Amino acid sequence: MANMTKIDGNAFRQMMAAASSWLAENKEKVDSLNVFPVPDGDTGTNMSLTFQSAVEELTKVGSNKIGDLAQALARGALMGARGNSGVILSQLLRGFAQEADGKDTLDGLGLAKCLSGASKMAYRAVIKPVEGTILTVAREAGEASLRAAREKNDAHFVLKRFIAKANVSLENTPTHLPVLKEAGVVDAGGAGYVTIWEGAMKFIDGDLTSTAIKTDKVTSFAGVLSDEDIEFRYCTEFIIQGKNIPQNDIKDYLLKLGNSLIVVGDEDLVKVHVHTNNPGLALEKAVKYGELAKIKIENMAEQNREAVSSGKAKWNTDTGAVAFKSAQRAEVEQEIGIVSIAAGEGINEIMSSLGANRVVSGGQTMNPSTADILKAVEECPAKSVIILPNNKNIIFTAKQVPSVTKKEVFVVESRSIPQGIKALLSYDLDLSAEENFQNMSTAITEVKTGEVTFAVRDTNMNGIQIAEQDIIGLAEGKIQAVGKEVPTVVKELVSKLVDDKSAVLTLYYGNDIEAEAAEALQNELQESYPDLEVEVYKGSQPLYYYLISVE
Amino acid sequence: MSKTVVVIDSTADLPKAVRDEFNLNIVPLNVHFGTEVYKDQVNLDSKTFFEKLKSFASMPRTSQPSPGAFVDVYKKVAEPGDLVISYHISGKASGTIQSAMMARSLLPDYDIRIVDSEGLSLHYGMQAIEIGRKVKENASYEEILAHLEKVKKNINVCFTVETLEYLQKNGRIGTAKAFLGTLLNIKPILSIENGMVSGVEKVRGSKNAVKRMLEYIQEKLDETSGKEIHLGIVQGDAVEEADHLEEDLKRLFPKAGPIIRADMGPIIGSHAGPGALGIVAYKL
Repeated sequence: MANMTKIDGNAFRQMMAAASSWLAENKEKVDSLNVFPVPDGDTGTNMSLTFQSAVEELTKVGSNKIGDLAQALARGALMGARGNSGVILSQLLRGFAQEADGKDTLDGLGLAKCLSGASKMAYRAVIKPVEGTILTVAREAGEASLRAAREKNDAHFVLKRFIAKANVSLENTPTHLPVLKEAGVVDAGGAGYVTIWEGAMKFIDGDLTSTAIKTDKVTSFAGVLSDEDIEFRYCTEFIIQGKNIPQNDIKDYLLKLGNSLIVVGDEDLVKVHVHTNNPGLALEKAVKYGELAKIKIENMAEQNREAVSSGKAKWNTDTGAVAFKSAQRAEVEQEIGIVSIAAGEGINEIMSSLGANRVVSGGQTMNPSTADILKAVEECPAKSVIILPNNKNIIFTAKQVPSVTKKEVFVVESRSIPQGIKALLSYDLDLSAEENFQNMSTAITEVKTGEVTFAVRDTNMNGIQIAEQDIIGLAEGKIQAVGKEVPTVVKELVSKLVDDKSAVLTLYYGNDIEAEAAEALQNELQESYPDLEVEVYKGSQPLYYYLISVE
Repeated sequence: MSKTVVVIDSTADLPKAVRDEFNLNIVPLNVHFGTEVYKDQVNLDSKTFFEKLKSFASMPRTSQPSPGAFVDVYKKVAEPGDLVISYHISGKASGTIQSAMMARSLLPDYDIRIVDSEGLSLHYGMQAIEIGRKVKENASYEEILAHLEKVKKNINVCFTVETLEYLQKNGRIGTAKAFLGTLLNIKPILSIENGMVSGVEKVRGSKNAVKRMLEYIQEKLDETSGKEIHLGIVQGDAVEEADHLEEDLKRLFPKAGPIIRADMGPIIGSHAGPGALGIVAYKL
């Protein structure tokens, strides 16, 4: 096969498959080269996954025309693009496809045009092209392939020259990028690109001993940058699917948010990659133009730290910024543990975020047993534990716990979820368990609780006639509002809870309420009470349409 | 005749009028927006800074004055034989004091006394005012130090920020780290302890935050004896809130002297972020 002067559809399919498996085989080596733009050590993995997704798309194509196949390859890469290097790779393939358009086969010149077209497209897509990267390798090798094609219109010859030049160019990347020189490595993305075409070449040569990237002398360099060097922390990627997506508007906006920006695709499908400190803003902008898919947000500083802590590199920093994030998550032995009782995923998350070590499932009509609470207390990595029952029917159960454990246990008599959250807000790690218990016990008196649920039977309370299934609003446990509609009852209840000392009104909506309905209610309440800060959170609690706190 | 002069740095966030009144000479720190470098208070004021902060995609960086910058100021304001009191931002938060010391070693003929305020922003600035006041009264260096010790013991500060993100990013957060990572919209009430930012309390909503800050200051002032109450307000991109706070303080402490109003400069501002609001108060 070594004298293949033209590449047909079958050969192309097999070349790409060979390229994909060769890249997969070498991805760790490529990963270990990764220092630019951030040493997250996943360039090889990202490129490999991107290319796999591209090749998968090939299998879905019936046609055997190179033009159609290259198109499919490009589309697959765009959909599956991962990471900065993956997105650039998708653009290289898109440029390749554009040149291949309409062609049945590729001769030497055709292939060379595709290879140089690839780099042109990639340069256009990257907002601030950096030399010494995959871009340089693709461009210089692409130019060499054109020269080769003019010498001899033979695909095999062209590809061979392309790869030879790509390797030279790759070796030269450190002269363009000081960070590579310092690390004693070549550019990882460039290495990945060379690997792909070497894999393709191996199919043509029928040879499985082709040169792999020379990385033996190189130790992994992930993690040499300190946190300070990572200007933008979150590697953010997503795809926008919509109509008439204004790519330039998106580019302009995202450029303000960060760097390593890539916005590629067409009017209906755009892939975005950006390093930013505000991934939320990027997503908010994007969602205006269509549906978002394949959202990936990664904290590069964290990846960097992991690389550092796993001993891959030395790192001196005096910022102290490293410690706290992991300390927050890890279950380290601490002085005080907190067990809170609640129902609903949202409430659970909020409580955990405020420092609850364990949230025991329970609440109205589903009181946990002493054993349930005890188990959580024992699991807490602390000698002293504070329990927040958050329901008046659970306080008694919780108070049984101190007599059955060796741990020091305090039970704050919190009677509602808002009281429990208020107690957690006053939690201070620097104080003793007993001081925290005192502070929490005081804090719960500084919040007013409203609960909106439905009546389980006909009744008459405080002179109000209530029918089964009526919506009822309770202020501090007493029925204060009755009606047929949830929003009406909420509003009436709020009017009973709010006074001139109130500052913040918070609604936690239950699992029977849609987010839109909750937000609409928030807006109405904000209009009625302009001096209050009205906030709404997803509580996902059962039984209660809304839990309300006024403080 | 030899004289006593006071040198401070720009992180004191003192308005020019106040610096002039108390003869406080400043050495500016540097603010870097990408490749652009500005000198704090010299060619970048608070308002412009916060406008730039909003439009600039990445975080500005700050850097301490060079030893050369200190040498220039020392030579400009003093002569050999004069006493220079060089009073600065907490050495735990900034390397400024380091530069001052290097400058001093370059000027062996000068008598320069470098002192760490263990303070930040107006909390440091109001201490500097007390030095200026004593120098005006022709106090001796020992008297000034004794006075300063009393001020440091009595001074209270609390502030709130819009988000802890900025403090966190810069690793300037000290014990306030326990405030991070909550899902609820929390206003942290912070203070300064041992030259670092520390946490006081987590509060829901701006109104409650102001209420709690006023309570905190009231409690702290009640704990100390003294006749004169000195008050200051510092704000970064929160002028309106600061105006309201000033009214509140006047109502709560009708006998206090004039309230010093300070605009948080770029250095502290880039660590606290927009929307920071603080009170400094002490009794003497």
